[in-house]
Amino acid sequence: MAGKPESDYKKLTDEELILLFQKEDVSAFNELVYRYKDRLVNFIFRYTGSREESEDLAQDTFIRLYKSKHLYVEIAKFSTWFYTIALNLTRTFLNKRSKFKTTSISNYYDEEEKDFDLESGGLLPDDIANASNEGDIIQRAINSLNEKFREVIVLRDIQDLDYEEIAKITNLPLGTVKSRINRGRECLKIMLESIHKPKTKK
Amino acid sequence: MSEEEKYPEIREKLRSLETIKASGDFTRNLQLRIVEEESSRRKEHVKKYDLEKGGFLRNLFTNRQYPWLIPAIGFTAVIFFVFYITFLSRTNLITESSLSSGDSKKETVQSENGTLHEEKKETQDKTPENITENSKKPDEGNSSVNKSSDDRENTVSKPQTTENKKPIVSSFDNTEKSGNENMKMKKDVGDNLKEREVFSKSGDEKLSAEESPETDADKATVPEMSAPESSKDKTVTDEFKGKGLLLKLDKINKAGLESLRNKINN
Repeated sequence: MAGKPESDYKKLTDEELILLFQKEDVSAFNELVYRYKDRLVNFIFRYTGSREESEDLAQDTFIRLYKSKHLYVEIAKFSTWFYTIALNLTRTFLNKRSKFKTTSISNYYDEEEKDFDLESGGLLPDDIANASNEGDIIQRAINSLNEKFREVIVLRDIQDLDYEEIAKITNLPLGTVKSRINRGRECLKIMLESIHKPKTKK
Repeated sequence: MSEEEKYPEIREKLRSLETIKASGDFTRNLQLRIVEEESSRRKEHVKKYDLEKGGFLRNLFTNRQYPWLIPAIGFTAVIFFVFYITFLSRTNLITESSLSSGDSKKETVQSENGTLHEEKKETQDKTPENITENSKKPDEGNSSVNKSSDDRENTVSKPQTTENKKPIVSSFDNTEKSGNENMKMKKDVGDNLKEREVFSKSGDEKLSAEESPETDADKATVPEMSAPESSKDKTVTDEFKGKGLLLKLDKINKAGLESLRNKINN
């Protein structure tokens, strides 16, 4: 099966490639890696905010695809199925990471000193100071978003997937997806305005 | 206003973000990881295959695919053990009962002919044949079955001696070569014959009376011996084979003695 030239694989759709890979055609898998590696790394990086972790998670996703290729059914779009794998792996990774993360320092002080609580879902002054350009600021704003909004915003506005596909990937109703996207954008707007306002005032 | 048109600035900003590309060694690292995964999977497969190969007990106690096998086998083992014990106890009971019934029968027969047996035993013990027999027998007093078989042998041997006179005499004549030995033999035989004559004269009447109850006793004991119920019967049959040989020797001796007696009388 691996006798096809590379140009033939480039003409094939994702679904055709995965079907070929199910018949032990490794060249089809290589073509899928070539097509999706950048997209996947970008998606995971925007979701996690870490370059190294995004590459590791992208490789994990491809390994999962390699191992469980037989689980793909032709009914669904390949990109939907593949992004679902990536999203689940990233979610579990973030859950594991959040276990080691301290969210509040109020546990170490009295009730009166609760002013030390950090606000969740906002940009820190250090983030703004460390951000070298607007892209970094936006990325930090995305990272500070709630996970529910972040995943749909990344899938819609960065990966450019349609609503229905996002609904299938996140396993949410279409209306919920739309509302979450709107609320996420609203949160981002507020955060970015809060950054730019002091600058304009000065 | 549609949802797409709500926050166009934010959408534009997000779309204008730089796309992060995978590093140059991404595919190489991925291939290495895939190779590692494949090798680990093969190792697991080999381990599993080895487990499947490694003996019944090892599979039983290490394979967790069929955990119900352990209690099932244990239960069956217990059942087999219980059946085995019950079977053994039953066989023991049967053999004991058969032996006890046999003993009781013999006891009854012996009690009927007790006096006759005792007298006969006394006479047999005095004869040289029985002395030799007694010296050959390893454990005569152990079983009552042996006693009854001895009685039967004695009763059966008498008519046969008269029939087998001629061939045995010829064989005895062939053996008469050395004169001293013959003389000794003659003396011994003469003494024995004298004793026999005395016993035969006094006991002829008794023996004729003894023969009929003995046959009855034999009839009573024979089915017990031939019954293939237990291993003890086998040992009894083996003893009978040994007794058969002794019987033949006895016949030969008696025939020789009678031929000598005839010669002396002549």
